Amino acid sequence: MPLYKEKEAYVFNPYCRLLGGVKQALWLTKSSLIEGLPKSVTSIYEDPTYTFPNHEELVHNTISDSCLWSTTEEQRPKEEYCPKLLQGLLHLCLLQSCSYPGLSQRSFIENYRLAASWRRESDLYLVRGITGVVMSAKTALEPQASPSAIQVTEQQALDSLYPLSPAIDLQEVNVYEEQNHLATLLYKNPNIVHFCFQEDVKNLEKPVVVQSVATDGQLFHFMVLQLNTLDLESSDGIKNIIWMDGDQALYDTVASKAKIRRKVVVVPAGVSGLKPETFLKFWAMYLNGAV
Amino acid sequence: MTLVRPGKVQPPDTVQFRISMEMTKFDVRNYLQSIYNVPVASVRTRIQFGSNRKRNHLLQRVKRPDYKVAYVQLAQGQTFQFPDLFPEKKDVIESGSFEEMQSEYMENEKQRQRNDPRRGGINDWFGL
Amino acid sequence: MAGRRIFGRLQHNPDLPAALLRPPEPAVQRTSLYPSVVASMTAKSKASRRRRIEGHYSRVNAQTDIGSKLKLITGLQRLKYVVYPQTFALNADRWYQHFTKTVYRPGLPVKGSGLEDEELGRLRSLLCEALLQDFYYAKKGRTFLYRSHEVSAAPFLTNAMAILRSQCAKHNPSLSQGALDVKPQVNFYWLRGETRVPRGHRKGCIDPIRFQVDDHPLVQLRVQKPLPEFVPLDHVVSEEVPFIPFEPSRLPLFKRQYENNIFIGAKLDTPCSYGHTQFHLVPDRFQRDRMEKLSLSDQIEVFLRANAIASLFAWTGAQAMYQGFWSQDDVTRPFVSQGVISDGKYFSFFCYQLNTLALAADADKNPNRKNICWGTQSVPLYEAIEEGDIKGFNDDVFRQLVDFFLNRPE
Repeated sequence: MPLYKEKEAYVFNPYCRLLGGVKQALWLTKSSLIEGLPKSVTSIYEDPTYTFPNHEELVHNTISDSCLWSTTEEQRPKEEYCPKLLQGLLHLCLLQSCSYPGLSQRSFIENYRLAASWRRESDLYLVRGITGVVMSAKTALEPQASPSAIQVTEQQALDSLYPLSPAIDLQEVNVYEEQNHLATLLYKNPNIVHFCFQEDVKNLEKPVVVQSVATDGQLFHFMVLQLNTLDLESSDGIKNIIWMDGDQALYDTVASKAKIRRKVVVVPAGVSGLKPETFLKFWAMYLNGAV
Repeated sequence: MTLVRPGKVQPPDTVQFRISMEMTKFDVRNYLQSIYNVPVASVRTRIQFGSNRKRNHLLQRVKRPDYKVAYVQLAQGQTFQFPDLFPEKKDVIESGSFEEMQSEYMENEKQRQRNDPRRGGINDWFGL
Repeated sequence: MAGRRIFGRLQHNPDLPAALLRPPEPAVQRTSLYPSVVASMTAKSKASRRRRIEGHYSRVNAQTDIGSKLKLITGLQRLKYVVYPQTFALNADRWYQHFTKTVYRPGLPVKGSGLEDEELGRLRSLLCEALLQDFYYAKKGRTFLYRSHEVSAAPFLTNAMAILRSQCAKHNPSLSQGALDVKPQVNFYWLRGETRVPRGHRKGCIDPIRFQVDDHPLVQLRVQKPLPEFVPLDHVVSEEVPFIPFEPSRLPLFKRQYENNIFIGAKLDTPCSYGHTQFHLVPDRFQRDRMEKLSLSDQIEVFLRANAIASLFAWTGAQAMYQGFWSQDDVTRPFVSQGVISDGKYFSFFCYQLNTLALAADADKNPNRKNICWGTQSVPLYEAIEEGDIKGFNDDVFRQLVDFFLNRPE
């Protein structure tokens, strides 16, 4: 095998479930975490001029359409309706593009195959896999953190995973090729931190910002990553910044039939507990960069 | 490869064959196109199960062999009608000929030998 | 024996009322002292059969809830012909016209376009960008055999639908309330003609021929209000529906038995229960160059026509049945939908108007009522894509595409 190498590399793919969780991902990508969304997204979210007209009914219809109505069976399994729901929400957002001309300069790619590799503390890490939906725009997103905030990260220390190895749960391979493809944002996979970390830029004059949304059909995770450095070999120096707003439920339950246990309605029929704020956050992430 | 009369009525552009088991659709197409210059649009094949129901005198099952059937659709709007190999013969008997006399004689004989309908099918010898 | 019992229990559908086969009689108003003389319910006679069938019809008509009505109509499972809209069969369009009682008219029903050139230019640039994005910029790997249409053409058509819908929503507000289904499921079940059951315990019975379409368009757009009719319902069409004297299995079509479904892509609860436009993708098996290589170039247009007739009939018919019409209770207003069939380069446009659902042998009384399908030949949208540039973009095709999206409900 020509690609066989003595030194093994660690591969992250969509089927990996990291034991260390976010902490491990932060160590691997040398990033510091900030809870909540950056200012540019929250300002859109709070600004009443950017509200989505009639959004509650539309979102309600989208959820029931993707989960309940679009099948002759009673209800779709989660694996099927999750991509459908994401697609429905994206099409909802796309409908607004006549009011916001910046939104029409976007394009979607589905099932994009991405690849990236980097070295961290003398180990080689690779990312391979097929993503959900990638949305790319013509104009880059503005940096979300000021230079002073970037300098602050220099002092912050990364949590170590000791006694776990940082490469735990990653697949060990010996046959590999170092590749880098450009890719951007918006996936349906929970392992977002890794996938976001994908820019084929060697020397960063200006920080690169990517956003990502991950969902399991009910919970939404919003994440913004600002790539400040690609010098990942050592743990010193400035770090990348990640904003994360996780576990936002779009609705409580959805069921085609009411589930009754001991004469108490446990799960009502249809969509219940719809939280339009989550959709508005989604919409703010979508709109970010276009206004 | 035998051209057969379709058991069920087929559209005019479809021709039915019985072919050997080893032949494939592509063989059929090549055969017809290269040797007979017949334009072929599509070939479909199926295998007909031969009956396994019959038994011999030792009550063992006797299998009729399976065979492969090919349905060939002709291209360029050509049609094919399986020829009527055994058309119904129309017997026209000329008047005054030997056959006419013979048939007349036979009819008379039959009439004479028929029983009396008034007896209701009872034999001639029975009665007073 | 036990196996048979278990099998019978498995076959038993608990949702289906037992009354489907042996019904209670609808109450008859008694005017005379004695009950009227009616045929037996169980005898093996023509009168008895007619009474059973009429009992079923009256029960279906008495249903007010459309869900239970559809369940009664589709309840009886028997062997049925499965009609594939994208079929390999030769000359399938004439057969499908016969099955669906459809006449085909070349050309589209005239409609006025209402967009000025500036707006059209903006739309065109957006569409060209999507085209380049999917066919040129995006790096796409190899795919499976006979599935290369999924790589570029399918995403392009989906994106084109989304872009045109969102951009035309400004001029056609009904689109913004509509629903966009990606790879939906469309089913339709209908009866047409009669045949003798050839074998089995029902051998010799006269049975209606049953058909089922299970269609998977690439994308479809549903709206809340019906589109306006192209021609009035009592418009007499001069063309004749072709008559095929052979059994459908000679096409060939094959029989299967499974659940009968009638489905427009969403359940009855949906507010968007009328069709607007469907996009169909020509699979790799039926690509133009492959058909030419097989010397079937005369079948390219036939395939497109057959696809349009079968899938648009199924979709429009299902919409009509969602409004409570069925073969014994024919439509009182026409139903209309539009379809675009494309392989990413060649586009053909179809409009369908459903004038009748009475296709079953005992309902097909009015010969003047025919379904109409208008269609165009396939025309390339562009000549070639070279080095990030589109050569020979065809404006007429693009205008037609936009016109489809501008068609608005009254």
